[in-house]
Amino acid sequence: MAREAGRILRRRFRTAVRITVKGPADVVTAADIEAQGLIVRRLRRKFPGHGILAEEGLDATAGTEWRWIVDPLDGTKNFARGLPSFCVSIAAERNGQVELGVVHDPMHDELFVAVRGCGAWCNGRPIRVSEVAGLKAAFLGTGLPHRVRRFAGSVGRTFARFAMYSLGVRDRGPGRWTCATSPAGASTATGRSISRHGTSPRGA
Amino acid sequence: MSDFRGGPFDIFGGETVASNGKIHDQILRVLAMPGGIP
Repeated sequence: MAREAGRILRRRFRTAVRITVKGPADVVTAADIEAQGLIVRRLRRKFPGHGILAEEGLDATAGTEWRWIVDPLDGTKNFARGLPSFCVSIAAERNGQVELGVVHDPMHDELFVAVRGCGAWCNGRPIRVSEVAGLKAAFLGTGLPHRVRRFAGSVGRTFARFAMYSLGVRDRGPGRWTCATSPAGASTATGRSISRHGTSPRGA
Repeated sequence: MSDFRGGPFDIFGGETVASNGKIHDQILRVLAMPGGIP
């Protein structure tokens, strides 16, 4: 399902992207909508009793034990500008606890899957976080706040501190993608998380 | 995983610190430095 959605994103990447501006820093593309439609259709067919919370205005979660949380195009701004740093993000939550996470990077053909209590895999191969025990030896990933202007000074100071105290800091775009691929297994992110109104989880 | 103060991670919380566990407290100490992210 994530790979299917990824194929949609890949097919539409660097084509004429129609952008709808949702707010000062929010954009949504036709690729968002098409990929979300596919994922939601698949989920509803396979798990008809489950709730779904998705980015583009879908919140059908009331009273359900299981809830799927979907961001069909995590990294929309990168996608819209032709930067190949974006992913499909899907999580499954049971009674408020995340049990399963899937992140698919269609441009690098990488599918990350993590299951609570079972482990994590990239394209079927087991992966694990690094054994680094000190910040000085850690390579960090971060996702800057979606609306960085509001906290520009404090975010800048924090970013500079991490750059000073660690081996390096990278902001590669989508926070979940950064978490999945971070070699040191360490990342920080701030900004809005996905809301009950189905708004953007970007930056989280 | 936690929020910026070491509290429980919340998908609606807007803050995420994810680490291998071994460097988590060190990350939180940097985040807690004065003048940083509120």
